[in-house]
Formats: sequence, C-alpha cells, structure tokens
Amino acid sequence: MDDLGFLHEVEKSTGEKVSTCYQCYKCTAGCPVVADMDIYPHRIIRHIILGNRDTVLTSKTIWTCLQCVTCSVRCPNDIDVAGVFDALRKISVREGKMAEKDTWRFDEIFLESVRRHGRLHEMEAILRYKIDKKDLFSDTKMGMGMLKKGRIGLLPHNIKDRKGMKEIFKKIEDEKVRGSE
Amino acid sequence: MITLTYYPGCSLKTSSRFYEESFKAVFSFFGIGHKELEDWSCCGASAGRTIDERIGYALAARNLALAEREGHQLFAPCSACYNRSMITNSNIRDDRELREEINKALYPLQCTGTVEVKNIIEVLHDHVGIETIAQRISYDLSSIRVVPYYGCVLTRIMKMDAFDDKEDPTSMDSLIWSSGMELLNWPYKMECCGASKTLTNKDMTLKLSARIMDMALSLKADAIVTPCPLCQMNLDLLPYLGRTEKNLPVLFLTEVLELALFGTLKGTGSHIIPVDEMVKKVKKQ
Repeated sequence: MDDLGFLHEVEKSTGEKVSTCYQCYKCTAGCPVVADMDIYPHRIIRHIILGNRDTVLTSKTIWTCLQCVTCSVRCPNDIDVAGVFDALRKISVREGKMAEKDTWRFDEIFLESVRRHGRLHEMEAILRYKIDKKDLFSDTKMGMGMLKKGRIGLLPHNIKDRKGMKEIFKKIEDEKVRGSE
Repeated sequence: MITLTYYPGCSLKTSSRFYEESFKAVFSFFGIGHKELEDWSCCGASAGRTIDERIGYALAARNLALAEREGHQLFAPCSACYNRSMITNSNIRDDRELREEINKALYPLQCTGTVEVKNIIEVLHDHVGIETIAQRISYDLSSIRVVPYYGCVLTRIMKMDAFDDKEDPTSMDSLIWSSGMELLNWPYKMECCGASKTLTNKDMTLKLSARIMDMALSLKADAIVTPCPLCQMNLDLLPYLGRTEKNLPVLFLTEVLELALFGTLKGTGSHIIPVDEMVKKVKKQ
C-alpha cells in the first residue's frame, strides 16, 4: 500500500513542497466544508507524505473542496493545499478512483461549452449536466425563477473566432499526448 | 478622460447583466470611459484549471493577449475573471517555459504577461477616489446598514501580493463608507458562499450561503454588499435553494454608488431577493 514515489509525484506535478508540512492543523481549522469531508485536509497532506496513495485518491475530501484557498493562504509553510487537492483530482480521475463524479463532470461540460462557443452557454451546460444525471426536474423552480429575472442566458454567446478557440484546445491536448509518450 | 479596456466575462453578459448596467451608469457619471475587449472569451474559471492546468492558462491568456494589443490595463469586474487573469498574467511573465508553451497554442496571438489587471474596487479608488464620491453624492443613505462581503477569490491570489489584505481587506469598506451608508463590522468578509457547487451540491451552497445571511441578519443589517457575481448569485438564490427564513437583499458594490448618486437602482427587477424595502430608506439630501 505504501508508495514512496507518491510524495515525489505530487510535489513534482504541483511544484509544492508538501513534505514541509508539520501538521499544525491550520488548513483544517479554517476549512468551511470540513464537516463534509471524510479525511481532514491536514491528514490528506500527511497521507501523501506517508505514501498512502489509495487513501488519498479515493477520498471524498478532494472533491468536497471548494477551492476557496483559505487553507493555502494560511499555511505557515506556504503549501498551496487547495492546489494540491486540485492536482490529486486529476490523478484520481486518471486512475478511475473518484469518490464522486459530479464535480468533474460539470467542469467537463463547462469546458466543452467554452470550446464550442468561446464563452459559457449557461442553458446548454445546465441542461447537459441535468440530462447526464437523468435529473431534469429537480431544479425547475429555480430555473424558471432565474429565467423570469433574466438571469440565465437562453442563447449561446458565440465569439467570432470560434475556429481559433477550437485550435487552442486541440493544440493543448496534442501537446499533452506528446508529453505523456 | 481615461478609457479602460473592459473584460466582462460570461457573468456580466448573462446572470449579472444588471451589474454591467450599474457600473456603466456610475462610470459615466464620474467620466470613466470603457471599451469592451474585442472578441473576448471565457477565462476558464475554476473548471479550466481543474481539468487541465494548461487549458486554464491558455483560456485566460487569450484575453490577456487581446488586451495587450489595446493598451496597458485590463478591467475585470468579475472576481473569478480577475483572479484567473492575475495569476495567468504573472506566471506567463515569470515562467519562460510556460510562456512559450501557451503562446504556441495561442498562435497567432501572443501573450507576454504585461498588462495590469484591475478589479472594480481598484478602478473606483484609482480613477474616482473616496473624497470625490463623498463630495458628489446626492442621496442620504445613512439609514441603510450594510455588511461588506468580499468573497474568496478577489484577494486570495496564491503566490502573489494581492491589492489588499488577503484575510482582512478594507478597500471596499472605504468606498461604501464614502457613499454614506452605515458600515457594519463583521467576521464574514471572506467566508465562502459555496462557489460553483450550486448545481452539483445544492445543499452545500445552501448551508454556506445561509450562514452568511444569518450572520448579516443577526447584526441587523439591511443589505449585503459584494463585488463578486458568483457570490451575489448564490446568496440571491437562497429562496430557491430551499431557505425559508428571512433574506436580505444582496447588492453589487456599484449599486451602492448608484443609490448614492441617483437614488434608484437600474437592476431592481433582476434581484431575486427584493430590494424595495431597502431602497425606501434612501432620502434626498
């Protein structure tokens, strides 16, 4: 279970000196969603150092995080804890170990909308997510309320250079494939 | 007259269109011009960076590259756009490898990381100033009690100096104060509203935003004031998120100035939590 390469992998992909953590608990003490986490933030950091790879990657904690970065700002050793969680999400997805899939799925749908239109098409993204979840009607009242107040864009907001936008995405993805070869 | 290059971001064109109308009214009163960034795109928000760091950088850098052709300043009123643009601008400037990689993807656009990214608070301080605001107001707002709510990402910019204190900012306080409103001290300036969990974990947003609302109510405030579109939205959505208790209106910072200058709000109809009771407290000076 112990994986001594894990600390190295996380430090390398984030540029954060995770091993400087001396367990002061500040990150956990300031976290607004700690009650919804299965493992406290300072313990996630400790698990990384100990090489408990699966414990970290299957945790609910990395998906509960809101990226408010309170922990990162307060860390006395300047570890971007929220940034580390963000990196752990990527590894967790790559290895199919996600404790929760909604956050990632919504982010994918969000980006897909940006790739197509250049800007977020709110209605399309929300509906796609809802269809994906097979849950079209739970927030109908909220949706209608927002529509009535003119607070959801019904139509896409296309940029002029949509071709250029698609190319940016493609070039970044191609580079990623080359990088991992 | 100064003309700022304006980067609206998705929010100010859809869910927070009345924020745009509001700042435009205030800017034109004070003689600040703005020119919308030609063919701007999404900053990537938190989704871009979470899925792939490079996509996050490239999306924010595309707008910075467009802005570099326009001048040296980019005005981003949305806190998320501001945060992503600031971080990307600085990293592109300081990290040669990253700059080369992102510019390869952006080609024929080029980003060097040399524009100054400015948020709404900075623009109001730099180009208007609290003295001018205090001198030019026409309405008495002294019977309106408000709490300043900055939200997470405006000042919590990682690995960089922020324009204000990261944990106890005061720059918006002085702007509100100069409008004549009664400013309350409170501990939730920086509490998280639930951010982008509104759709994926509604209960979490409800819990976090309700806590902020409850604190404002316990201090007997009349309204919450924020510069951030996502914070405004989450708090304003509380009645739809399932909250049955009383709610206070959630104003954008520029709406405070709108009230002080014109006595009315252009965006009255866009607020989900009604603002009428609060607006009634505005008196002609």
